[in-house]
Amino acid sequence: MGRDEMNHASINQTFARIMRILTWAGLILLVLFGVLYLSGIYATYDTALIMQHWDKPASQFWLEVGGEEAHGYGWFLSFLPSMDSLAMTGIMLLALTPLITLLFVVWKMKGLYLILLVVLIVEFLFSVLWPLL
Amino acid sequence: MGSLYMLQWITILFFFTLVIGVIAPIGGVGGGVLFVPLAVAFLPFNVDFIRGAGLLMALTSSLSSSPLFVTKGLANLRIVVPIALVSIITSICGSLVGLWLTNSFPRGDSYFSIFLGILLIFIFIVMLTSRDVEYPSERPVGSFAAKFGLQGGWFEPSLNRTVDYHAGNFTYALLCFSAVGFIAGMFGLGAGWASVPVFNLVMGVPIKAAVTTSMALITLNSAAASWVYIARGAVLPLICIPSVLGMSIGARIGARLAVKAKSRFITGLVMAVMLFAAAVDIYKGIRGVGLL
Repeated sequence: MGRDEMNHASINQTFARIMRILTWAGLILLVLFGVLYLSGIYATYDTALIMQHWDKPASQFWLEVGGEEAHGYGWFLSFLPSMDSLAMTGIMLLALTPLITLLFVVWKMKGLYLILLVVLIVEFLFSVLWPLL
Repeated sequence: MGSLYMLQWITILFFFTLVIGVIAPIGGVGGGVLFVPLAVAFLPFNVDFIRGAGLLMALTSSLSSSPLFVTKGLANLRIVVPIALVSIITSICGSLVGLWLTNSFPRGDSYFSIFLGILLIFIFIVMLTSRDVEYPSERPVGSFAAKFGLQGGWFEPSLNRTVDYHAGNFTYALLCFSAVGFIAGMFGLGAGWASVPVFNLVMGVPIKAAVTTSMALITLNSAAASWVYIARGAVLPLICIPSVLGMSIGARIGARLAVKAKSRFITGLVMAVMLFAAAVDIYKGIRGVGLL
């Protein structure tokens, strides 16, 4: 197994470029819609209610604020395009960035590292999808 | 009145994280290791939301720095990939256990506070005793590690040559990184304080490559763990947005100052703050469970 199999410059370049683009996109979404949300424009959940209950554990907090516990991503995806939900899509994109980056480089891999990367991607997919199972 | 109260908390969070963002790089630590314990000790939010924000801060800062390190060949993906296979699983497990602890027990957040305080004392001891080695001697490469060909190199301008290295002790390192992943997920930390010494002292990776490779590993660990927090509603935009903004701006200022500032005093200050936060967290936890 040659050293260039994983540390190949083009793999590193692709990895870095995709990660940089997605990070900027996620941060822009987060900051843009986050600032609009904090300015009081079109929010799903009442901020006064959030502040009243933010000292409670997440499960109890969502019972008080949303009427039911949060399981999965419906607590914000169901309420698009409110500003807090759109800000959450920025956070989602940031959390998806490593997975998407790996998907862009996996097809350039060969041998053992191809197998390792495929397993890594499956693990990542599991972390994203398990709440929906 | 409600809007004023909200504005007050947004401002407090922004400046709180800004100051941490400035101090942390000068003191040689990540922001999360100061944010999580101090926020648990002094801010009114539940630990679930603090950990969610802590992980998001670790994720954004590692995502911002990793591309440059990878391009320069400093962050070694060849080492990161086999380690991440294990540490991602343990970081997800850590997140699940952490949220289970605070949501399933009546005084779960108090127990968490005690565990966090104890962890901070441990981190304090690690920081006090471990000495980074710029170019460590080569560690034994077992047959397992040999299959992965854990090696790397980068052009070091200060030496005007390429520095090549082989990483060893893979099996021990893998055990260490499974614990690091669990702690990162459970406590909402990036855990660079743990992964850098493991890369450097256990695997024999030169310190520069250890720090940058650790960043790439944090990217994967914190992203996987953050999905658990998002799915359980423990990532609140109201807390995360000012925190991420404050930390990002602060870290940029801190990184510039770190080049010029004498860091020994700041490192001492950071360690003193950590010890103080540990004491407050333990005190708060013990009071919470009714032992005081």
